[in-house]
Amino acid sequence: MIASEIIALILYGGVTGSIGSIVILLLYMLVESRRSHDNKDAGE
Amino acid sequence: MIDIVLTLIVLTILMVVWTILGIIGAKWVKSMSDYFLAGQRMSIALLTITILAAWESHYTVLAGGEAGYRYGLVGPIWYAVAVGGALIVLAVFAARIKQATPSGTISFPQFLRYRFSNAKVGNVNLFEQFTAWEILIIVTLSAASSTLGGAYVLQALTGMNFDISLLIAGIFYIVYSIYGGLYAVALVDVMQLGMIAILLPIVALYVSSSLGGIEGITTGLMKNAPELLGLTSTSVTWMYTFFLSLLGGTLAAPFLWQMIYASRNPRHAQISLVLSGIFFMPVALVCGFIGLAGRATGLNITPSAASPQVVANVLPPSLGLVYLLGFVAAAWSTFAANVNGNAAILMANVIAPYFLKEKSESKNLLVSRIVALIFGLLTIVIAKYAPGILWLLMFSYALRTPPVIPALIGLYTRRLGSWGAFTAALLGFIGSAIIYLYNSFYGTIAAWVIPIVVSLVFIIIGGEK
Repeated sequence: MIASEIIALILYGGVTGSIGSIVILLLYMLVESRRSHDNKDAGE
Repeated sequence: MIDIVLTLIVLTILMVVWTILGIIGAKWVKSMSDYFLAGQRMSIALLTITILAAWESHYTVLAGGEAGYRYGLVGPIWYAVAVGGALIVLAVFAARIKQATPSGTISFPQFLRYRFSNAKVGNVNLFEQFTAWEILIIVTLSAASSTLGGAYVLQALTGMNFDISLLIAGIFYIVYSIYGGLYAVALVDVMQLGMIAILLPIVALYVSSSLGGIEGITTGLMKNAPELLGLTSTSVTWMYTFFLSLLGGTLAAPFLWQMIYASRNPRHAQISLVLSGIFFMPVALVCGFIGLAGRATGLNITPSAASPQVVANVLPPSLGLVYLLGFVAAAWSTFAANVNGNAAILMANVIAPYFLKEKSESKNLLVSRIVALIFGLLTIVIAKYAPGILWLLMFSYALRTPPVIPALIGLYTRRLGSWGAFTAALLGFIGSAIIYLYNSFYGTIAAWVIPIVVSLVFIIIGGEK
């Protein structure tokens, strides 16, 4: 049934996306800080 | 239900802990924000997290829940698309905004003053006064929705009478704003982001399993609100009103302009805004789902309080208390920022230049606190008579729209002069405010159409250089 599939999409899409986006952003921050450290090291 | 005395004790302890954390964090946050904002060193990830932390607030929890409860399946989806989409639309203008402003500009009102500085009477810069008063009105409306939200949460979880909940929520908010909320809003924002993006999905999963999973919720909706199961269950005018007011409010958000200025380059600002828009959407879906689940229960629920009422009815009291603490903490920081921001604007534009000619720090602080107290009390009165949280938020967003239209047009043509822009913003603001009180749809349309038409007329006939 289409309605229950949309509800499932709202719930599971929402849950996965919310937690996933925070994980992605934290990893991204980690990569960015590594890169800026590397750049500093290269500059020195 | 949670015991009322226990709730009050826990809230008081939370307020003290929050204030101490704020004082400890204030120095660190101040030096961090000076470093990043003044130095324009915000990286993509940091910018995105900062925007999300400010955007995912207690408003999202309540307004998303209300959208799901009122409009069924369409509610959460449209809420997610409208708010996320508005951030993505701002990305289109981000490069222009960054290029068109001198370095050192840190806010949208400052940009207006700089770009349209010729609108003056004597020594008074009209845009400066206009934006100051406009912000006072808009921010008081937003703060009132925080007070109303706090009242709904307290009422839902403890079973208290609404008026008493409103009074208690208001008093707690005001005391925190005056004593604790002067510190470290940014730090609290990040903690709030963690709560909403991680705790709320867990609450949503718990709610779903308590109501028999997706199957149980679908059956509940078929029984209690079958009309909300389709994707055409809501009126098109609601969708337009919602999208236009959110778009205007987002384009005019001083905080987002500040983030654009703080970015390293225009491309970073654009990518961060698009990422924030995309990452906001799932959180909005989760908030909307909780309201939708509330509709499936068939309980008699106040739409604006759908989220806390579902939690109160479905979650065990201990988890309900965690939700309450998370919610109140999130709402406190926003409320304190709003009320103290208003006090600062009134101090800088009216009280200090005209009434407080002698400069004394202790006197200034006392007057600021009195002004914050008055604004706080005002929010209780507005919250008492407002139709709902979504209404208050959308009204305040619609009212933000008029000044941003001439500002955006002014990014692309020099023919729009100071007086044209000022007239467009002022007429748009007054016109849309009056119309909105009678009809929200036409009010929102007016907030866009009046400034566009007036700006175009001035461009065609005037062409101020």
